[in-house]
Amino acid sequence: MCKMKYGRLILAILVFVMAGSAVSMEAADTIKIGWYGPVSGAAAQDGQEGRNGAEVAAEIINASGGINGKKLELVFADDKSDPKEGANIATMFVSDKDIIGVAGPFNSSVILAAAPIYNRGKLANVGWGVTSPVITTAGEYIYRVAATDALEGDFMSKWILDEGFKKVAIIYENTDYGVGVRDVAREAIKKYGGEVVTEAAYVQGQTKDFGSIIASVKQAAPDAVMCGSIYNEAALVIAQARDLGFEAPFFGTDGFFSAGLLELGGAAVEGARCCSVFYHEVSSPKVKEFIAAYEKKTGKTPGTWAALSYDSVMVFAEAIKKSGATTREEVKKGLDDLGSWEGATGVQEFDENGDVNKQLVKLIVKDGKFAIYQK
Amino acid sequence: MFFQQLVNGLAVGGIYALIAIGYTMVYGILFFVNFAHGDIYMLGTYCAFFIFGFMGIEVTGGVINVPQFFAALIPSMLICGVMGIALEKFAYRPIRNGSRLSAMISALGASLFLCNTAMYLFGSQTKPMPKLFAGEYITIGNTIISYIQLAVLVVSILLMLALHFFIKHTKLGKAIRAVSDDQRAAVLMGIDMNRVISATFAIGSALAGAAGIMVGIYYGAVYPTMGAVAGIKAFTAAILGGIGNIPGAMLGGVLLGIIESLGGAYISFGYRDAIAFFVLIIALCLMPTGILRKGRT
Repeated sequence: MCKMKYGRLILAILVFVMAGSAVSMEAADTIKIGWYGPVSGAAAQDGQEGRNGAEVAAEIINASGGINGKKLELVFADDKSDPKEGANIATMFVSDKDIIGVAGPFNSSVILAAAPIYNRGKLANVGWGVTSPVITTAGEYIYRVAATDALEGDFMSKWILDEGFKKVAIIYENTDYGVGVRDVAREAIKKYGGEVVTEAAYVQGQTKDFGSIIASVKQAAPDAVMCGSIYNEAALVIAQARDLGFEAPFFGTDGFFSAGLLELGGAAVEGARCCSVFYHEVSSPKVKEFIAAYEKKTGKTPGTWAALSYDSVMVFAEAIKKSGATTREEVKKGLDDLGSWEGATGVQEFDENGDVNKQLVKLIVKDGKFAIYQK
Repeated sequence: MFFQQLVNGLAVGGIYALIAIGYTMVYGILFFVNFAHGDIYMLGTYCAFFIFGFMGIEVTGGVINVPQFFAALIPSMLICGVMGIALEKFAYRPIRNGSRLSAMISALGASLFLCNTAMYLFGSQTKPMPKLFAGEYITIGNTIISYIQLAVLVVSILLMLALHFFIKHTKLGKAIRAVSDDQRAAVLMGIDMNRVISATFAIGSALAGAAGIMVGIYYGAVYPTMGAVAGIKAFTAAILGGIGNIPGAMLGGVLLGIIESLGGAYISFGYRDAIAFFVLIIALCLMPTGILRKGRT
């Protein structure tokens, strides 16, 4: 009886080892890219959308013959918007020798926690949702396809002043993203001839009661409010503001641009304005290819995050195709030498810091939908 | 502005108070912190969310009237009460004679179980809730009081009065007080311990459920992790008021809500939570047993 057990154990180990070698043999024919984002937690809607976008990218790449004849395989991880998880995932990706590039994440705080690990592991990370200006200097292996808050905050501040709103209040989440927007807007509003009358911070994912913030913002009597918020809190801030009779217009960065804002905010978010690098009615063939594949897969219209996450995977495919890279360092060099390319969020190019330059679109919530803003 | 912040603080404080009662009642009898309490509160909100769904109310931008509110409140409170009894039966009763540490670990486990089950069943995204009174409000001077804030306050006060009456003037209430005062003497007098404990969990959980529904409607959002922060705040309120003492929990909740609102407005909103906990530390240094000590009434 006892011998039987050992026999089985040895057999099991043998099978396991063989299966293992089969997997590593197979690995030579695939290119493994890591992907991470908040599939659960406070930004789950955005994270799920991002994951769908990445899956669509892999499907399109593999359907057209893969990258240099190799299949692309994505390894998914959920960071729950938690910087600690981001660091854990980075360690996991860096220790998997087959992974030669990483796409993700959504939250600025998460990439800042993970960045030192990627820099040490010499593994290139292309952020898809991360917009904080601090990330510009996060290290030479950190790239992003999202426009920085410096770009968006400046763009929105100019828009607010162009509309004739001189007195502006800033409400922001106490994260790298929110503080980044605040810093940029504070400077830019002054630069364009306006005045910041008050500022208020809240804790992302925790604060749900904005009554006291609204009361003090209202006291300062601003003409408009600039938000450094993502849709979950933005919808609550605006809805609670309207409940307390505060009617000033709200402006936000691309954190607003999500179906979640419309769903959670209902009629209250009508007239809210924001900007985005992606809008689904742009007529470029690259954009159309992405939208058709996304709609076929999910039955939904893609938003910014789906498009950016799609681009964060696509940029690896483009760079590896162009440079023939097979190692981590070659992939990094491939990204550096990529030059201008077109994705679902337009024609873009990395600068020397790994940031990206692209066009922004003005959007407004109209009849319960996002539409291109027309004066 | 001061009065505006006071009104906001009172509404939030009323909700903290309702949740804090559950913590304090359980502590008063079993001497451990029921960490799963915040998750019962979360499930209460989901109960209401689904009841509104059954009633055919649009959750995005939907508006409910007062009878519909109560039609969701009462069954949700009952369901939460039953869940509280079940929680005690499965998670705490089997280890009641074990160490207090086991009970605490079991409570943490139950909390994770409930939160993750909710994520699995309902999805982890934030879902919208319909509104009560469609954003109407009254203005007194410069102070705006929304109808929903009034409703939260009134319902909280009514529930607390009902609890007070129950504890003071019914036989079961008397039994709860007796067990809380001196367990061994109470059992020797023929009080059925299991019945008292079940009742305690049922009442605490039902009140948490009520708080959950009101929060859901007030903020217009429901999500599986909402119990964590509310639970910590209410637990703080229970300690501030003197853990084990029911009027203390009510007072602690309301005080915590007001301190948060005023502290946020006059110091900094970014430090709102820090201010609340700082006040707790100061209060505990001066009054180590909380504002109201567990009385022998």
